[in-house]
Amino acid sequence: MNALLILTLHSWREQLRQRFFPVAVIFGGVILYMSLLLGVLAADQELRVLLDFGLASIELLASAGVAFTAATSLLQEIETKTIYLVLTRPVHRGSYLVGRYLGVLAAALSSVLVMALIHLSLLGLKGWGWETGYLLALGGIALKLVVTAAVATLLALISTSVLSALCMTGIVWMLGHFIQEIRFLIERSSQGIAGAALQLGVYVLPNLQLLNFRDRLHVPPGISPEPLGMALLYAPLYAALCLAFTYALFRRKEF
Amino acid sequence: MFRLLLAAALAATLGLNHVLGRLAALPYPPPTEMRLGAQDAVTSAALLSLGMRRLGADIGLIRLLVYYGTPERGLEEGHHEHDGHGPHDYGAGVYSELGPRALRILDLDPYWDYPVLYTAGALSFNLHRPQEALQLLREGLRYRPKDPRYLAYMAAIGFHEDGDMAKVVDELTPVVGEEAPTILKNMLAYMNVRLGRREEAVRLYREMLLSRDENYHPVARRALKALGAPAR
Repeated sequence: MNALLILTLHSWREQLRQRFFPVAVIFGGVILYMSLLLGVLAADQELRVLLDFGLASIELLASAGVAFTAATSLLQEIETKTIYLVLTRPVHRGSYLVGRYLGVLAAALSSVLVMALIHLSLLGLKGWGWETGYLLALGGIALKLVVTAAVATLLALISTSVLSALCMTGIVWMLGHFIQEIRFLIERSSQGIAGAALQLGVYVLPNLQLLNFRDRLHVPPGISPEPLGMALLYAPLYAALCLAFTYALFRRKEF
Repeated sequence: MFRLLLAAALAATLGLNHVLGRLAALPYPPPTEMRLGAQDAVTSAALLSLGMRRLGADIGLIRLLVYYGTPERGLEEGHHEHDGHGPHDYGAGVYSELGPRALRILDLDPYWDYPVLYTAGALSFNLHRPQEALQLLREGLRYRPKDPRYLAYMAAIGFHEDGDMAKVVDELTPVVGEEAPTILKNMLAYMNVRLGRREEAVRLYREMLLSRDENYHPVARRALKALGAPAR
């Protein structure tokens, strides 16, 4: 437990310094620039556009950051043999893996928090009134990061190349938002091998649309149930499954 | 033991994926019901694949505002095709794409009333195409049934067709609140002036001065000056 905590804290500090701090700074710059532009273009709807653009940027930057970090950190440590320094000590491979994962996740969530504060400050300056839906949207982003980091870690170990791991994570991330459409395709037309492949995709791919509370903002109450409870159950379970598979591969790996 | 746990976790996740896919579907139109336009199909598809449906609708609105805010070729000067909200007002012309663009925004975010109200107002009161405006409002009502603003707009369009401006104003006044599109406030204020309802017109022009759409600030200032009313 102690080793897990130390690994998590170390990984968190390292990733925050190296990757996520610049991400938050870039976000600050982009959002300030966009606020000036959107004020002119979106006229009456400036606040809505600024709200949506800010949340989308937070998610995109944090997801890209977490996918890149999760995919590179493990592979780099294997390539540079730094991993020996840790695993030759009495550290369980599972602790190493989970510690790395939690550290990366904590760094990503810290950057989300910083970006959200910048975003909220800007919205406040523009006269936005508080909505609890904002917290829900941020929660959805956090849950997506929980899943994305686990998927990227698993794919990094399967692919053994950073680039292919990143590409595969990106594809899974996009398809995860298309589950509803894939279901629709299956119902409408797909049969045979293509249909079976799509069906498998629906079962295996993470349902990221379930965690997409950003796109549920301002949907009138009673239209569809808020899947908050299901999302809170689903994201950690899916991430745990990915990590379990990663561990199954990692414990057999020869260095 | 580990393998057993792994199999149990896998079964639980796959089962959850199966159930959730049905229970937690987003309340949006299926892909076959979505209209596509040559200008924005790629952008919309890309944003949908990133799970950014609302942002797609936002970008659609910005493009619609830019489209309607840009004079059409051949009509830059001396246009006479609308009922005259002042020579400095934009919005005259044909703008054949205005309705279809609004419908595509509605496909992306059917719970967003602003594009419907904005476009229906422009189509019916500025461009004299009430049928298109009514079609848009009917589409809006599919997702927001009994929305009082949509219903009031429909009634107002009907009265406008009959030339009963007083009834148009009576229908629209209760539903044109602070959040309403400024273009609508401008039209309503103008109709109030025509009907001799000075106080109501002044109130609306003052509200326009506070709106985020700065295109209308000079219009409101001029109108207030013409009415002999101070800006505040």
